[in-house]
Amino acid sequence: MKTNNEWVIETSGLTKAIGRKALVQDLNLRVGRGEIYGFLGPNGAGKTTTIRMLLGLIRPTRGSVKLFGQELKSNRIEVLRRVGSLVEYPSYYGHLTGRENLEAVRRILGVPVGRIDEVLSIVRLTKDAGRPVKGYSLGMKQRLGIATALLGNPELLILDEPTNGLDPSGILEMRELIKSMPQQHGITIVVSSHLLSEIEQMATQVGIIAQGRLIAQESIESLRGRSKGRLSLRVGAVPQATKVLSAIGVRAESAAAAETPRAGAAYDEGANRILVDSVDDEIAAYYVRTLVESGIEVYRVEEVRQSLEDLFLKLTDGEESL
Amino acid sequence: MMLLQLLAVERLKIRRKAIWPLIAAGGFGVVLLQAANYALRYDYLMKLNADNPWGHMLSEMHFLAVPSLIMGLAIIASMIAGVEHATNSWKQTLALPLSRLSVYAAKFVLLMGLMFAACTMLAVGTVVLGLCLSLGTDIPYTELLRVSYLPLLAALPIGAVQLWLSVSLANQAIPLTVGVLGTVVSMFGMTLGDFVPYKWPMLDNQWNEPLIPAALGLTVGLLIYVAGSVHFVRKDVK
Repeated sequence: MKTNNEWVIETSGLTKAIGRKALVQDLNLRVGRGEIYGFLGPNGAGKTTTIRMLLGLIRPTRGSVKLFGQELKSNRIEVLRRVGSLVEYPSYYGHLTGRENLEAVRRILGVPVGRIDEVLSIVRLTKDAGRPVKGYSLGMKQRLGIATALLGNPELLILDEPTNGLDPSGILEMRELIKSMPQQHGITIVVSSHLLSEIEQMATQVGIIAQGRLIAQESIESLRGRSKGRLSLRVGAVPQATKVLSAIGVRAESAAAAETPRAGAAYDEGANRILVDSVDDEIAAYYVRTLVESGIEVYRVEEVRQSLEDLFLKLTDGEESL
Repeated sequence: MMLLQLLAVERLKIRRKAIWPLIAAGGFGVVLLQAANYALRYDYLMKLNADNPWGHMLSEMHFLAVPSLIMGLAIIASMIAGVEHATNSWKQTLALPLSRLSVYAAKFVLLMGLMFAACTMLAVGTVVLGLCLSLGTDIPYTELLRVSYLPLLAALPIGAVQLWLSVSLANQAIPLTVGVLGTVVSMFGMTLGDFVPYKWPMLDNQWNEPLIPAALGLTVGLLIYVAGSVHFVRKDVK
């Protein structure tokens, strides 16, 4: 009996160690139906290792993977029938044409021949289907990989770094394709990337992994809140400025207490600077006017955007201090 | 059912890989070599083997075929596994809803099937050559079948090892080197002990019973195949 809100992916204590070194440690992933789950982490954080375990390509050292509420270990074939995947670089047989590549997978999945034309048109490769794949551009190979993943009408699509090595227009195209799928086909998607900006633009849910550990798992809105830009003001006197701003209901903190901004670091970082949440131009002007009218000099006003690295640092530090 | 389906897929994967020309080169190549042998010294050989011209031709054929059988097993195994290694397709193949046992089985059956085809070409080519050389129409079919197919059975362990190596290692230089060395060793097969697998395809042994090495090959070959597929099932896929 299945309920509507069962997890499509649920891992508990998932761990992969080689020798003593843990590549992935105690991962508890939760992916809900219809989500685009962005799996975010720097290179070498364990994203691909995790995805390989989700697909049964490598065996976990500890812990378990449940897909669609079923243990992967004991129902591998049954479960994988409902999953499409693209792991890292696209896999293909270069000497075969695009259509033959799809045919090799189609025969195993046992879907009708017509499905090949459907997936070819989804990724717009119909025109090139008769050419050997070794002559394809990387973007086309990647699209063929997506087509292969879609062939079996999967309920869950697992894409590992699908935009790796693509040019900007290829990335845009891939992103649109991914975003359209939950809407049009009701598919749940897990997409991994090392780029926050990329995940931000398509994911509804985000899991962040660093050094093999899941350090955050939340909705994109909540993550966006954490990584949003802030306004940095360089002022004559920090304590007075903070007081003046708090009088008008603005929480300001001195830059030294917060993270060091990376942008515009040409002058003494943190000195005489306060940070407030990013606001519209009018409100920013209002802050400045209030400060100036209170007799506090304002030397510089700039937008400081927190990079993913900063966010990681913050998140990992946060974990350590717990 | 599943295995047949997979075999069809495996055959699709090696399309345009020039495997069939290679198989033909192996099968008929040995026949051509033998043809050259007879062309060069026809009168001498006919006089030497006057008592049993077919028998002598077959045993020489067998002697020439063994090295190419072993080399063939190594090359074909490497090609069958190589299509997956080349663009790292294992991760795609093995994330599909099929058992790893059957993937390995399909590769093994394909390898042996292709070699069986090569042996058949050798058998047919031998008959044609024999008739062309006017060895008479009294063709010793039992002996023909024996030298054509028993070496393949006896070489089953070699095939199973080659496939195992080729599937496990991305670097195909290693299994191919093992294949070349095996070929060289087999050429001195007659001097090896009866329990060295590289001697078995020669079908020669102290009891003078060609069925013994064939049966040994079949048994040991299947054991190595099972070990290889168990390893394959448990292996982490890069």
